[in-house]
Amino acid sequence: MPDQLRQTFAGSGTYIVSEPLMEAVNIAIALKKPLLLKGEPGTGKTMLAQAIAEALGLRLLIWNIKSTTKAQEALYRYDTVQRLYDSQFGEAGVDEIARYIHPGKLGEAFLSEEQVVLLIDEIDKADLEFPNDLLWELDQMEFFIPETKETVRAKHRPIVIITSNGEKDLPDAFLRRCIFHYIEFPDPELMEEIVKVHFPQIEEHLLCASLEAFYRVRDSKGLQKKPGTSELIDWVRALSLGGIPAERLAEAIPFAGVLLKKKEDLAVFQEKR
Amino acid sequence: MFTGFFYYLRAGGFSVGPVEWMTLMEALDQDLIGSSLDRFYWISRAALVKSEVEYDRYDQLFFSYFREVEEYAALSGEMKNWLENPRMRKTSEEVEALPLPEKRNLKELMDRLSWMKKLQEGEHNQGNFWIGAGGKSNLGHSAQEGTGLRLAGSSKNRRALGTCGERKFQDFRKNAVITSRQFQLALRRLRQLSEQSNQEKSELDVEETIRQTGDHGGLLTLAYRRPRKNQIALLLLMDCGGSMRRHSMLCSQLFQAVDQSTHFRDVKVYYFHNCVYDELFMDPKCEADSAVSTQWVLNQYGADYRVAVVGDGTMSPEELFDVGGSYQGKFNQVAGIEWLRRFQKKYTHMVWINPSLRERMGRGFLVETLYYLKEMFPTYPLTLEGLEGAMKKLLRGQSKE
Repeated sequence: MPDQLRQTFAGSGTYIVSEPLMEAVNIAIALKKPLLLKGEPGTGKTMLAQAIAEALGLRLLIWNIKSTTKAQEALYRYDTVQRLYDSQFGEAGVDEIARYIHPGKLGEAFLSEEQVVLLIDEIDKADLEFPNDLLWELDQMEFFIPETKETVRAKHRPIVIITSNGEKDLPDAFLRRCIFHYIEFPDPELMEEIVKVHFPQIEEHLLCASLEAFYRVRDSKGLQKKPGTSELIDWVRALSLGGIPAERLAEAIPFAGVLLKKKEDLAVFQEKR
Repeated sequence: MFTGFFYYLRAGGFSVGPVEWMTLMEALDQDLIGSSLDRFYWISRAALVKSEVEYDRYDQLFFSYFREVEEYAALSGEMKNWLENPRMRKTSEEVEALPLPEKRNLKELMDRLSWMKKLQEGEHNQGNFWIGAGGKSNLGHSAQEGTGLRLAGSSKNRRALGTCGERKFQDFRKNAVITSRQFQLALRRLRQLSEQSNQEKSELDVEETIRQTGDHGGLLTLAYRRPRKNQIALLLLMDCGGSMRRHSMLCSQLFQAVDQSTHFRDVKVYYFHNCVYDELFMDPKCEADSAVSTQWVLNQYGADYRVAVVGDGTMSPEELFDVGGSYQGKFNQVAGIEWLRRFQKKYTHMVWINPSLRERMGRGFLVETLYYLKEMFPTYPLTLEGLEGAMKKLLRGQSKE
């Protein structure tokens, strides 16, 4: 079975992965368990799923969770409205319920002819009980459609990546079935690597100065929203486009608006200077 | 395999269950960990720990367990000292001659360690075999090959297993001081989205209506359901007495969190001074113009309100037990304790949240009342963990634990 081949992930061209995270990803793939990722916004939780899909050459399915999302939506949707509409006009095939069953993201992942990576993004946004409603499906990789009396079984077990911002605690029963990893904010060493991947041409001098300034901003007290990796990358881009000399970063933060998104934070920072 | 570690974790208050443990065993079984100790630490953490707030506890237990195994404490003080302050030395040839085991695993490493401890005399740095700093030995610290076990020391090459000794995740521990946002998250636990069966089916269920209409060949069939709403209403009583001033930051954060919570059916906040007497106050200054009768409050809010009292419970006994014990404001006709009993009698869901329990409890007569109140009400400290506990209790009600 091709599934049995041990797939391993070691980061991708544009995604630098820390060793503990790499181990967590690989163990989750090998043990066929969902990988639950938590971490500050901007630590690349969502990006990871893309990187895994890219590195393993698999298709990525993204299921974005909202506060109103129900577990059922992942499985299938029974388009009763269309059926009702069709029935009014005596359309042929109204009796055939299967015509009105549309697979959701999980259904799509199960039905796919090839293995896919399924990203369940920001699971904590949904109702408290939401993760529990998915337990059976994620465990057994199958679900039953009562309307058609059909069981949908995964052709290839998808690699499931789940992200959470920790807004709600997830139920214990759900947690027990996951491999968990908390993505720490990258330390300067790792961050240097990450920036280099995006700007291979960057001067060493500017890189050091910008990283130092970045961590100085990040560590300043009273920030409401700390800048993350993506802000740093935008900022470095702005710096190199603007031709800012590295020396200037020691005393001032040009383009501070790129790093700090909240008005209050900008004010705090400008006050300090 | 490693079952001792499983029970050690559990004994240390780390909630690991058989499901997680079997995951780890499966990983060992499939030889996913190989013989690397770094990987054993990372993978065991990924499999067993389910929240970053537990990382620190896990690190501590992991560190202390494997330290126990290696009998770190039993190492002579001199050796410990030398490991922590390495002076690089030349490799000694006689130990080079000894073969290094090809495949290393934890047990082997531990065995080697205890065996060598007996054997080893004096210091040894830069070697490939003995316990020491630098070099390629898998015991000691700052080793280049980095699959060994680090015995304290700082992580120079960032590879050693012993990183768990650094307690990087200390900040996440649940009993750390909390922010208003974290309070809000804790308060969100207090919700009971219910379709209570005693309620009328009053909401049109559009989905079900369409479905049933479809099933009836287009004949309109209306379906109703019970509304799903958070049924919980909260009554918060906050102490603004003098001794509470120390906790005012924390309490105002709690107040903000409650104030911003939109998920309750109703929230009412009243203030009191040291203890609940004949009057409660709408304003934290507890001045006469904002006073309402406590009996009115008791009559006003139904028994299904959840009541949380926030106070440090430290007062002189007569303030709690005596008629007229209130040293500020009006003479109270009914003793504070009697008012508290009346609350307790009416509200089956009631907790006491005490900010001073975060600290070591003092001695003396002021604390006597605190102990008395602790006996009377389920009491929780004003920490994140405490608040979560209190919310759970409010949800669950009086059932004795």
